[in-house]
Amino acid sequence: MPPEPVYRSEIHRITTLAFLAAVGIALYVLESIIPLPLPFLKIGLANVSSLVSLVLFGKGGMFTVVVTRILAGSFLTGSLFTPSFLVGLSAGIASAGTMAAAHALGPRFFGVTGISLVGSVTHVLTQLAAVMTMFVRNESLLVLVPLLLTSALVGGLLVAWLSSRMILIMRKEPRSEA
Amino acid sequence: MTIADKVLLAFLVAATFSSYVLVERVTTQGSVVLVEVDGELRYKADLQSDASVIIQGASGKLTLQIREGRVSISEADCPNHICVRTSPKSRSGELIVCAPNKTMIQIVGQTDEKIRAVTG
Repeated sequence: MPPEPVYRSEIHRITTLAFLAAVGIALYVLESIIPLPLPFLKIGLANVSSLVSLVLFGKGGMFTVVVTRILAGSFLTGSLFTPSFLVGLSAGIASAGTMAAAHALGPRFFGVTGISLVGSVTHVLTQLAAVMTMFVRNESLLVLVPLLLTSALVGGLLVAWLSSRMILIMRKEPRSEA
Repeated sequence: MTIADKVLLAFLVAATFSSYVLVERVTTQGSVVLVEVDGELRYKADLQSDASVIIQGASGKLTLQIREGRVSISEADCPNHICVRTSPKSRSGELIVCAPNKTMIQIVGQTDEKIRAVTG
């Protein structure tokens, strides 16, 4: 993954990041509507936007997109300023941090798949740790680890596949003079 | 996929698999259902009994169902119905929580019961 710039100007960079944040918000809201046996067992589709931002714009771009997506997404799903918002926020930032670290190891080390898996596992484990520290202060929630890890695996792979396709498409965007 | 990707993936698959095995070994089939509202014990029942009980939660009523050795919430007065959508629980230590109603349903095993009784 060569780090070539995908944007032509600062305006283009800002609007592309905004587009990616919007994609993240849309995916996040969409996911929250899907009913699941255990409701917090999300596939994390919104991480497609985080991962694409990371690869195309570096960790600065990714953090911008992630924070925007979490704030706007929580606002839209009605969980802003609730306790579960803190859980989601800490998980989002932690997973963004580990993804940035994995990315910094260089394109020859971790590819999109590896970065995505690092992110999804961090996200899921941070969520569990946050809930266990803030709400349920006993080890009973640890029984959820197998399910959470499975969804992190599946979600991470799915996000990696979708992200790599999106990166390919965005890189092919024709470079005309604005 | 780079080599590191594959190694990570293999490691995670192995870790996930072993977590299933570990959890199976460590948890036991539960025997008692405890229902707490706002921290106080409101209802206790045997997991093997068949029962349908209405519990008064902090902001409404919840209908607790115990059937075929599993407990679940079939109806509840809460905005998101997360508790209703949770799958039925049967193993010791498992929980169903309804946050708006401050209600927690926990499954406890027989040995836990004895330990609780001794240590208060």
